Amino acid sequence: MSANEKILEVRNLKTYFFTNVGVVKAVDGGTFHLKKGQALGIVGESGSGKSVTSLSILRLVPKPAGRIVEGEILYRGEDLVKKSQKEMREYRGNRLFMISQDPMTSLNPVFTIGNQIGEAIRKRQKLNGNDLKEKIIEMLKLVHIRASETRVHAYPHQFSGGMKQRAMISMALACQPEILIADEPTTALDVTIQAQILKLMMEVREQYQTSIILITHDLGVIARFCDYVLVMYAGKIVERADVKTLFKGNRHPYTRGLINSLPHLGKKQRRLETIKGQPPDLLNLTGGCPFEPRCDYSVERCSVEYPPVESAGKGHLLSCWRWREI
Amino acid sequence: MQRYLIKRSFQSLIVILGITVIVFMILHLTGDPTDLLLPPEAGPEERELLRHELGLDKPIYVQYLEYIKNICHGDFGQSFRYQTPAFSVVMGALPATIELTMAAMILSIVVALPIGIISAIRPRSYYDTLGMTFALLGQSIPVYWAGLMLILLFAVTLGWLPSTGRGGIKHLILPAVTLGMFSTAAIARFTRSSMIDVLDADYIRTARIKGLSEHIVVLKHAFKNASIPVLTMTSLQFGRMLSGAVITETIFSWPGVGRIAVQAIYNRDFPVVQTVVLVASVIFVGINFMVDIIYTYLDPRIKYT
Ligand SMILES: Nc1ncnc2c1ncn2[C@@H]1O[C@H](COP(=O)(O)OP(=O)(O)O)[C@@H](O)[C@H]1O
Ligand SMILES: [Mg+2]
Repeated sequence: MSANEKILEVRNLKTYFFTNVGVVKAVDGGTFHLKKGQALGIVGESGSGKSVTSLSILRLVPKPAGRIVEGEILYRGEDLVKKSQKEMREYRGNRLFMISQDPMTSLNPVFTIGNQIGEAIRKRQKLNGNDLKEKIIEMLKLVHIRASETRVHAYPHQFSGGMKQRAMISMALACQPEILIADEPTTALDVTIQAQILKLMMEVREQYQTSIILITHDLGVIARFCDYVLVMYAGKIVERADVKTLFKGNRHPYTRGLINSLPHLGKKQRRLETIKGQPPDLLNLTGGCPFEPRCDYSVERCSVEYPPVESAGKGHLLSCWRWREI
Repeated sequence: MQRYLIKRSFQSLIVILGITVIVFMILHLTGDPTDLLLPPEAGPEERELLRHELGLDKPIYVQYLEYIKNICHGDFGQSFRYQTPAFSVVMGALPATIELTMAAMILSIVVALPIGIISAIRPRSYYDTLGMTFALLGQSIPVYWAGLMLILLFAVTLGWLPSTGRGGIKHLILPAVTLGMFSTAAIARFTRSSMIDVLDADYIRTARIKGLSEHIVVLKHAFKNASIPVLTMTSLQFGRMLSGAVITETIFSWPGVGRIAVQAIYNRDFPVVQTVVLVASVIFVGINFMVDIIYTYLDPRIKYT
């Protein structure tokens, strides 16, 4: 397999929620791909559809309201959208794994950590008894959990937030997925712990050549960790570029707003710039660009017609009527 | 844990003692048992003699203290009516009641859990609608009416099952169904709602992300969490069944404690009534005690100190 092979290719993904108050177009036409060993970042304000995108890939969109209404998710050429839930079990775990946002609630409170890691191990290797226990301890050691011999028997409530997230990563390690999705893996953690968890994920990536989708609203994390970045706004990917282009040559007003709202270390700044206005209500979207009400560059056309995806350079795609002038 | 057990036993004792006080007081407010024990033509002297003999002429608190003292010596009093120890009257009927209650409980659990779990996995499906409609009926139909209808259908019309008395499994079916109906419905509905809550949890998603089979996700990861509130609900149903047994036993002439209790109340047979209540409270308190211990096995976060 060549290093440049696309192991995941998402085409025109639309995941909607059919609620009592209307249709929420949580992901509306997502197209992107992931190469072997690549780290793809997804940024965007909360509610922009980052989590729903990752849940769609795993085919775990919350039922019954949520549904993938259109699009393809090609994993090594196989369309996951067409798979049954039973068939998806072959992909979850060993090929796709996701670490979610809140480590506090993502482990089952009534089973030991060891038991839960063991389940992940047994997905790959049918170990039992002492062999399994040894392996679990080994996994805990890999994520630098101390006194792992006793911690195997601990329950989640006896673990701190950072330790729980490590336990989740050790599950990922046990599964050895080809694609690891990390949905804001550090948002709920202390800053110092955040750095440790990210370092751990980088180790995983280097050691196992795991492709990673890292969701975050922290551009600093993106800068350090990712090769390629998607910027999402109101269910749409508004700009995508390699990480260098994104920071230095971005052309979308929303991306620019995000980057300008970053604090610059070492530079004198009177105050942080913020993007004015509120994130849009996905229930009341017009046909136009959803960022238009908050955009400094908006013209009449922006509120009527959604801009097409255009290329601004190699691997740099964006949707904005006025990107050439920006 | 050991300290908890001691503390808890002590609390249980207080609860049971409290119950005896209340029952003792209420009973003595209901009237004079000698009314029913003496022939109508008996004169006042005869009545006084009997009252003295039964100890009813002493102040009520003295009667109560003597009662407690006697219990501590294993003496629960003589049945006014049968002239035999009240304790043996009740104990003689207890196995029948335990048999009926256990049968009803096992039936409830065995029927309710699958209905609740399957309804929760497919909410708003045909199965769910059907299951929950039955559950609603089960909770709204009065026990005596359900009992009579079952007798009418299965004993009188079809002649498949006996309608009275205690014997083998065949005798047990109708009373157990009658007694268990309400609890089956209650446990099924409660299991459904607990499971629906739990199935939404993040850790269930984690289990699915690992690629575990739906069986393991539902029966291991979800059910163990849902079983905690379901257990609470089920233990409450035990209390309900002990009282439901009174009606059910009367309808089906089931020779259990419930029937004895009804007769004893009619006859103002104080020692028997008191013993029934005492035994029932000990059983109920004991079950709750046991349930509290089971919690610690189901949920590691529960720790008693
Ligand atoms: N279970 C659900 N039911 C209805 N709407 C949902 C559900 N889950 C997510 N959404 C909606 O989908 C949109 C995208 O959510 P999400 O992907 O979680 O955003 P984020 O980018 O913060 O991860 C939000 O507007 C949210 O309200
Ligand atoms: Mg999210």
